Amino acid sequence: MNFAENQPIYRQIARRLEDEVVAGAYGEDERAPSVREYSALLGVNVNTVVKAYDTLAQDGTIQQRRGMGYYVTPGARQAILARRRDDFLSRRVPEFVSEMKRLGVGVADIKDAFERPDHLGTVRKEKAGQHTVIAERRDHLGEVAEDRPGQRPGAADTI
Amino acid sequence: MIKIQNLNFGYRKAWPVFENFSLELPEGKVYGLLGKNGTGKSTLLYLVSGLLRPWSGTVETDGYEARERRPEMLSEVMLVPEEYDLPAISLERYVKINAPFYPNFSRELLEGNLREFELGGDINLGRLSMGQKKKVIISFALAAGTKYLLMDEPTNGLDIPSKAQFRKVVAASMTEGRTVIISTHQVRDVDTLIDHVVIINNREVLINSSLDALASSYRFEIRQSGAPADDVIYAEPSLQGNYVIARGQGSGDNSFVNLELLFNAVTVGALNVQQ
Repeated sequence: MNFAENQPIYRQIARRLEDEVVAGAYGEDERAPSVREYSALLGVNVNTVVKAYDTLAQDGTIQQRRGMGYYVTPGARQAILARRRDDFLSRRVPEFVSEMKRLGVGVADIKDAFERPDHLGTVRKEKAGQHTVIAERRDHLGEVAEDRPGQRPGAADTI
Repeated sequence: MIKIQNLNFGYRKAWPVFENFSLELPEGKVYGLLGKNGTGKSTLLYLVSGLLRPWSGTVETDGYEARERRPEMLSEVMLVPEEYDLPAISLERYVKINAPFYPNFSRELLEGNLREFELGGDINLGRLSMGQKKKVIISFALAAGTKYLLMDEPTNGLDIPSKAQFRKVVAASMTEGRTVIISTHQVRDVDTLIDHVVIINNREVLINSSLDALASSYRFEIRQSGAPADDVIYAEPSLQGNYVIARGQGSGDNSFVNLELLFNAVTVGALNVQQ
């Protein structure tokens, strides 16, 4: 795994496990990889993984069960998405908005980009196999998630 | 524990490598031993494993004076030198000859490591490339199960995918109480593996600190040129702005420790951390 330099490694590891929980690689109430397994998989010092798991346990994403290792907490997926949504709205949207203002980009431009079908197509393609994530997004955006990935003509199967 | 006290050593009388040098490395950690070429990184590893003897002062490894090379110590110390020759025999035979010196040697680990490195089958040690030899010797060293594992520039000669494999096999073989010292100037290859960094320069220990402590006392970040720099200890230009080391604000919001930047800062004298 390659790590970015703008964040401590333990955070990046925690984020990776969160991503995997969101994607359903580790279901709720299922066993998460052990510290040792994860450290070997990523080629990272065991103590760094311990630190990552500590923050995940503090956030309630995983729980340690005595003698059995770590398990994904029921409801963790929703909680992660809620936290990320909060973070997105409170931190990234304001940055985005001030950049919009600086560049003279209007809400209409954004709305336009937002509703462009090929834009959604791109998202869908990147998240292929993660239907639930898309449903989540669209729910959140107040849209009805009625069409399934791959059904929109020219969306999921084009390059 | 590795305990070095008032060490004096050199290869020539007029040119000591270490003068009154002291260093203690508690067990159970992965140490990154960094230093410019010729600062004595390899020499230190040889002294710790008993291959060299101090002029004066003591080097204790696991409670034994390393210079005495007692079997009890040697069976718990493994050194992977930077360069070595392997005999032109089969791996099978090599293992048969060498494994008995290491009571905790694990065949299973050896095979797992070789598999990770994509080496398998009947290996003739005489017919391997330098990189492959390195993989074999590292696989064997990790499988030996010694309490102390010293590796001198282990990623030299490894190609890019092998470096990731190297990190995996080392991470997988870290057991409780095991002490690993990796001497390197290729810090990028090991920066996710180590939890403690020792930097030596001009016969002195300039940094001896856990990465955690560094991450909470200092911030490693990119700043736009022209941004306030009151707290900046060291800066290097980068494509995005200046890559700086600044005094941390004790927010507990840990930073990514950029070892390269740290190393450069230390060798120009901008920073000195002892714990």
